[in-house]
Amino acid sequence: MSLLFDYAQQIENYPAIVAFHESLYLFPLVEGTHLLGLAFSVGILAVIDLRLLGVAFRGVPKGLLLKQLRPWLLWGFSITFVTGLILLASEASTAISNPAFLYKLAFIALAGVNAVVFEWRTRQEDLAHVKAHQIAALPEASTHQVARHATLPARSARYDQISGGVSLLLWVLVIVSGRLIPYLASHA
Amino acid sequence: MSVLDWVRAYEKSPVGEYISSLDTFWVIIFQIIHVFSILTLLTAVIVYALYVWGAISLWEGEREGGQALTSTELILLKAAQWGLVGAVLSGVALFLTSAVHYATNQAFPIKLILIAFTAVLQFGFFRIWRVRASRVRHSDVSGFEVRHAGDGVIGWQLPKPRFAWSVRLWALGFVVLWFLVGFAGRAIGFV
Repeated sequence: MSLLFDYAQQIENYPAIVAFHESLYLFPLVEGTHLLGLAFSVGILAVIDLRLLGVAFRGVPKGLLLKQLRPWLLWGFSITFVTGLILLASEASTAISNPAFLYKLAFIALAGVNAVVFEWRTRQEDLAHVKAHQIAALPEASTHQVARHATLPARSARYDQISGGVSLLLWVLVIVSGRLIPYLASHA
Repeated sequence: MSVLDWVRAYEKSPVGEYISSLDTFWVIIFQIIHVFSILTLLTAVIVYALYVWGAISLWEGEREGGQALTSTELILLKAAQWGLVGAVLSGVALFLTSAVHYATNQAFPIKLILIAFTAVLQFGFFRIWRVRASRVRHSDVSGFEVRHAGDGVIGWQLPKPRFAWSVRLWALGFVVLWFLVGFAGRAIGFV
């Protein structure tokens, strides 16, 4: 921890980082962009999660919504990530000893794992759908084979609800722990 | 008596003293509600702008003769309304916990003016739009077309509604204005 702390202090003391931290306009601008970038990242992700949960936009196919919103989502997360890194660099030594920040990182990591699992499963699901279509079209397809693939949509909806719920919960926790950072800084 | 005098009088009143003495826990709760409300509002405004600019298609049924807004538009409008209500209520609660501090902050009146201006403009726009919704042009929407690509990925093609340029520009303007409100809000902590 001491080595990490020394390294964090080194980063914090870079002239460019010091100038950024002391800037009257730049620091608030980056901080504001980080917070508002959440609307492009977590906000758009919440739209997808609500669709997966079946709460909103139920008439829009899941795949279509993902395809359309993914680029905006990635842009949003890029902005949030870059501004977050800049802010972290300016307060690195205090951040790494702040429990709220560590919780925030842990929740982001878990949300990332959930997203990777969801993307992988969605890809498998797409392939399975195509296979189901192909099997159903075969004249020699058995009733058992067709029935097994026919249960895919029901299973998929259940997984989607779990993925969407977990994602929504984790990102709420990320934002809450982020808001707690200034309040827990003095206790670190 | 100036506004600041009123604020000082409130803070010295029994109610003001009680609210000012509230535990930090409540301030954190108000702040978290404030942040989530602002994010709800901003997300609704962003998704609406993407929708009317044709960047995303959230088609959920044809706009019928008597129906001024489609369900997609209604969801986004409701989300924006609830986001604004939450942000205003939590904002008022935050203000009451430290009234003089906020009232003497240079960024605070800028934020208030921007909120009032943008909210009146946005909800006025939707009210007018409800009346004029029939003028919004839509392409023919016949249903979903499922497409099978060679690599096994299933694609969807969905007709996108076409909105008049005035509607698109209004939507973009709302994104800019609400982001300005957000920046003004963040500036409160720095000036």
